[in-house]
Order: sequence, then C-alpha cells, then structure tokens
Amino acid sequence: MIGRMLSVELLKIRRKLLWMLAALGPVGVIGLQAVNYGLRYDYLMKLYGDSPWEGLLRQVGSLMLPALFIGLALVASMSAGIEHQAGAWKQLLALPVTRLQVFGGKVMLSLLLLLSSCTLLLLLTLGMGLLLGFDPQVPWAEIVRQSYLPYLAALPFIALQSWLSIVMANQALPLTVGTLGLVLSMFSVLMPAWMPWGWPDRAVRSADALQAAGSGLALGVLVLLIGYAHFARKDVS
Amino acid sequence: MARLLASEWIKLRRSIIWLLLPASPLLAFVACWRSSLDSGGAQAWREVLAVGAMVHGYLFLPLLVGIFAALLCRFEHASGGWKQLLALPVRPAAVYGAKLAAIMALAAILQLLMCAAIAGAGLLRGLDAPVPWGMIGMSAFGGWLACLPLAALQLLASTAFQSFAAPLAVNVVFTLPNMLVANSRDFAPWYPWVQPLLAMVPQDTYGFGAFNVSLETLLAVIGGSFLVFLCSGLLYFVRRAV
Amino acid sequence: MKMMKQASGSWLLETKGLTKKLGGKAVVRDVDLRIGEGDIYGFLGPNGAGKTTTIRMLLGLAKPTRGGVTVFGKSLAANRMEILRHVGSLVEYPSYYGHLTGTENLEVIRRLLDVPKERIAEALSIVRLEKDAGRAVKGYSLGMKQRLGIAAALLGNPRLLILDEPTNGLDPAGIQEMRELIKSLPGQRGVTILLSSHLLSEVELMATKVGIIRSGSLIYQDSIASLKARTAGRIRFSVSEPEDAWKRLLELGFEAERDQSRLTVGGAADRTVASIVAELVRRGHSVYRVEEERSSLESVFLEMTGTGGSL
Repeated sequence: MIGRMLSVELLKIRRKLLWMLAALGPVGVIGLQAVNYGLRYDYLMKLYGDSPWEGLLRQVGSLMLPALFIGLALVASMSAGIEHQAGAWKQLLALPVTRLQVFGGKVMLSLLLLLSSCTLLLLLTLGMGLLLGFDPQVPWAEIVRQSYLPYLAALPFIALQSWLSIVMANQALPLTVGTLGLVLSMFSVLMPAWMPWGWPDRAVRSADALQAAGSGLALGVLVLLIGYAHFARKDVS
Repeated sequence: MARLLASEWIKLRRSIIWLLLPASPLLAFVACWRSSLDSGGAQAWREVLAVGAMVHGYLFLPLLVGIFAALLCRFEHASGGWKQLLALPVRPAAVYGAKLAAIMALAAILQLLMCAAIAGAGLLRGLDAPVPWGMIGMSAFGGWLACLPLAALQLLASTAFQSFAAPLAVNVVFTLPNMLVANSRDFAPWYPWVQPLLAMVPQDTYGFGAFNVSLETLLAVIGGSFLVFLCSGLLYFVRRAV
Repeated sequence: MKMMKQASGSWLLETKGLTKKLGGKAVVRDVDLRIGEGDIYGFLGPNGAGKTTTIRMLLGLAKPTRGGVTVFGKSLAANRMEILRHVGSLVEYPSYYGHLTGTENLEVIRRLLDVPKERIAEALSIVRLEKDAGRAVKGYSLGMKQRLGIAAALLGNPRLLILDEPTNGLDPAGIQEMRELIKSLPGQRGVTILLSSHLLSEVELMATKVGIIRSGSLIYQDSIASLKARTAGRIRFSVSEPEDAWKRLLELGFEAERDQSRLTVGGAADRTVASIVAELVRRGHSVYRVEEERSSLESVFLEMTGTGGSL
C-alpha cells in the first residue's frame, strides 16, 4: 500500500517543477561553494590548514541549513499545492483510500524528495572535495553524518509544513511560517537546547549531534500524529 | 490608478498578511532588546540599529517582499481572475503598476513597524541618548528603496507562476547567496538582493565586508536592476494580457 | 407518500435522520433518502438547499452531526473502504491534474482503486474521449473535462454513481450527450445513479425517481411518474357562443372557467370530456378545439420549493 501511494504521488509530479527544486537545493549550495572556493581558495586553505575536508563540510553546512529549512517548506507546499490546484481532495478522499494513506502519501513524497536532495548534496560535496584535490582519504563518517543528521533533526518542521500545506488551500501562511522558521534557525546559537530550530545546527556541529537528530525524529513523529489527527477529522471543502 | 490601488486594498484587507507583517519587527525587537552592546551613548543606538538591520534585512526583508508579491497575485490566480481584471477598461501596465505600488506600500508599512521596533527596543534597554529618529528613518527608508528591484522581479515571477511556492523558490535562490555575498567586499555592492541589508546597516559601525561602500554605487545598482526587472516584467505582462 | 420498495425489500442507499449542522444552523435536517437498485434518482432543490452537503456526507467527505448512511446494506461509517470501492463520484466541478494527460489522470485513480489497466481504455470509450486521452487536460474544453470526470467515476465499475450537477457548464449538445450516457448506464452496466441538480428540466428527462430538498429538509420523495401526476390536467375547449356554453356547463355542475372564447374544465376523465363535447354539439355550439393543459412540472416544483408546499 505504501508503494502504491508513493507510485501515485510520483506519477502526479511528472513534468512538474518540484523535481527541479529537489535538485536545485544541493546544486545551488555546492555551486555557491564552488564560487566561494574559486575566489577565496588560498584564504580558505590557510584557514583550514590540515583539515580541508572539515573546512569544506563546515562551509557547506553553513549554507545547507538555511537551504534545508526553506527547501522543506517549499517542497511540502508544492506537493500539497498540486492537489489544491486540481481540486483533487474531494476526489481523492471519496476513493477507497483511508485518510491516513492520503496524508501519509503526501508526507512520504516530501520525505523522499528531501532525502534525495541530501544524498545529492553528499555526492556533490564529495565530488567537489576530490576535484579540489583534497586528501583522497575521505572522512566518510563526517560526511554522512552531516548530510543526514540535520534531515532527521528537521523532521518536526517537515511534519509541520506538510500538515499546514495540506489543510490550507492558501499557501501564504505555511510559506510564511516556513520563512519564519528559516530566519529563526539562523539564530540557533542563541537558543537553548530545547528549541527545535536549533536542532539541525546542533546535528551538524556539536557533540550531541545524535541527540539532536533523535529529538528531531521523536518530535517529528509527534507533530505528524497531531497533524494527521486533525486532517482525519476535517470536513473536505 | 487610484481605483486600481483601492481595489488592491480591498483584496488585501481580509488577507492573512496582517498577521504576518509584525513577525519580523517582533523578532528584531527581541534581538535588539537582548543583544549585548559594546558601546554607550549615541554609539549604542548605532549598534542596536545594526543588530535590528541584520536580523531583518539579511534574509527576512527580501523574502517578505517575495511573499507580498505572491500574495497580491494569488487572488487573481486562484479564481481565474486575471481575465476579469484585464477585461476592465484599464491598461495592463496600470494594473501591473498598481500591484507594484501595493507591494511597496506593504514594504513601507513593514519598515515603519521596524522603526517602532528598534526605537522601542532601545528605549526598553534604557539607552541614555535620545532616539535618533533621523538615523532610524534613513535606515528604514534606504531599506525600502532597496526593495524596489526585488519587488519588480518578484512581481514578474508571481504573475508568471500560478503556484504560491514557485516565485518564492525564485526569491530564495537569489536571497540565500546573501550569506556569502554580504561579506564580500567585491561583490556586495553589485548584488541587488543584499542591498536592503547594506542600506539598513548604519555605516562605519561594523566595518567589515562592503558595508562602507558609497551611496552612489548602491543607488546605481538599485536603480539599474530595478529598471531591468520592471521593464522585463511589464513586457511579459502586457504581452500575456493581449 | 408511497415508496417503491424493491423486490428484495431493502434499499441500495438509505439515510436515516441525516443531519448536518454548520455553525449552529442545520443545513441538512433529518433527511431520509431511499434509493433503489437500478434507479436514476434525481436529487432536486434550489441552490443552497443542502444537496451538495448531503452528497458529501454520502461519500464520507463530511461527517454527519446526526443520523447515518447505509449503502449496499452496510453502514457507511463502519465500512467506508468497502463501500467506496463500488461507488464512483463526480462532485461539483471535475478534479483533474492539468499538467497530466487524460490517460495519466485516469491512471492515478486506477492505481488507487487497484483495478486492471484495461479499465482505462474501457472508461475512455464509454465517454468517448479516446482521441484526446493523450493530451494534457488543461487544454480540454469544459465538456471534455466533465466527461473525463465521469470516466474517472466509472473506472472502478461502480454499482452506485453519485453525480453532482453533471451537466454544469455544458452546451446543449453536451448536455444531451451526457443525458444519453447517464440514461444508458443502469441498463448497460447495472449502475444505480444519484444525480443532483437545480435544473428540473434535466432531471425530468433522465430520472426515474425524484427527491426534492428545500432548506435542508426532504419535502418529496417518489417516482417521477407520481410527480408528473400531480400536475393537474385540465381540458380547454374553444367553442362558439362561449358565454352560453359556459353557463350550460356551470348548470351541469362543472367547475368551468371562461377566458374569452375558451372554457377550461379541471381534472376531467375521458368519458366526461366526451360527454361535454356531445352536450355542446347537441346545443348547436361549434367545437373548434379540445386541448389538454397541464400545469408544468416546473410550476409544481416551484410551488413546492417556493412558498411552502410540503407534503
């Protein structure tokens, strides 16, 4: 059933810009870093001395986090927007599919697209480092950690944006909330450990990265359950 | 034109925008209130203003302009209303112009709220010097002015795309590089999306990157990009209306 | 009210006391729908009467405040999935993904229904869209989009088809095509149809059974024949010397009305008409015309839904 829902969602986004968006994020981030390194190569090499990979990861990470925050809002919005635009909720929900399957399908699409973006970023980061002539002894653990842990830590926001974009036809509110989230995340250093906006950042930098990712996973599941409970009871307009 | 503006106002009156406008000023207020200061007296106000400008102008202001533009076009996209609007005895260029004016009006309200936020934060901190309305006002105005090219481009994107998210994606693609560009002495003066930030931060405070660039360059870049985006947008819109 | 029960004694679709309150106001109030197998049930009512809200409740799109829906003998609330597998619907305007082709749109539904691929071609041929199936739907005319919507509703070989305003926005040719299609479905495919409309003229031509809803309440539910029988039949005579003829009829005890040279008598059976004609001829009147005048179904309908004709 999951497979079926997912295949339907993938069919629906054929020839839509959503694909491009998922690729645009990582390409954009690495592209900017390419410019960055292109212009300031010497300075950056000196700055990071004998750990160029770590330096690269840090640079990429600083751009990746805001891109992730706004990217997840855009993906959730576009994915739900397809149904709103088509007036398809009433058709979809009058079919013999449960509300859980419909909600789950949309969320899964966003999760899958974002996961692909993270993977693409991993590959591009790898490529860039190797191209720049960094030590071929790649710090795999670090790269994988940085690529996927923030994704897990950002799960509450993926859940929140999905929920908002699904239950509202007007995407202005979800997207402004997403923008707000983006800006708030920039101030994560000022935040106490319990505020979710700081978790993706913690997942990249600090020692308790796994804890941040775990909290993200837990809170994300909770928000999903709440969102689903609301959606399940709602009358379809 | 006045009638067009009035009709935009009616459309906006009940929209969600009024809830969203105070968000950034509120955030700036909190940041200005709580940030640590190095200096005292009149310098202190400069620092507070700089903090507010950074919080607001770095990402939020350019992104909000995008949201305004998308919101203003949403009404028409949603109900197939472009046909209705353009079938009225008004020139398409006037319609476009009215929308642009509406975006800038919303931006103006936003900047005014910012002034209040900064002044309020400074007063709440109990800074000794009196509120430097002139400096705050210039900062807000400069930021507002710098939004012109952004508004023009976002209006083009919002009329071209039916979804709300697509023009925002365009906006994000151009705004996110601010993070790198703002610190670059060479590129910042030329990059339109970082101009609102540059215009809002009082000069000579944080002397890094391009913040000390001349006013002339800023205006040339803002004016030039505005003209380019406005003309492209108008051409596209008028051609599509026919 | 005389109900037409099925041989088996149960209804295909039945609601009991279906009520929906929105913001404290009851938009649907105690509705008891009864639809038999093979019916084409015309659900009629003025705009805002509660038709669409009722239909949404029948599909599980909205939850009733009170009351229940039973379809195929099972409760909707408890057996939603099972029931919807055999129900096709088209509510208000058709939903479609503009950027996908007609075939792709149907494929989306097909995968969710889990029916074989051949159904798509079948459905397209029923609504006659095979030629345009490969085009993006945003380029379809309104009639084509409507037909695609019906194809989508037919995809799962439903036993019950629920159509809300299916002729909305169609031109006369399209309306006729839709009408022929709908009328053919019960016979050809064994489908029972519930169609809602505010256009009596359309329902009159298609339906076998009618339910009229006004301000949330069901004020009439019976066969279309019974509804038509309510249109009072009156006989109109055009005669010479109408004044005399009129007086004569009044003497004989008929409630006759005179309008210049036309006399109208209400509710006359065949034999009575014959005897009136014979009497008039006997007295030397020339009888120019004998016409039947039926008050239209429309006026009956308006009377019911307008000023307060409840049963």
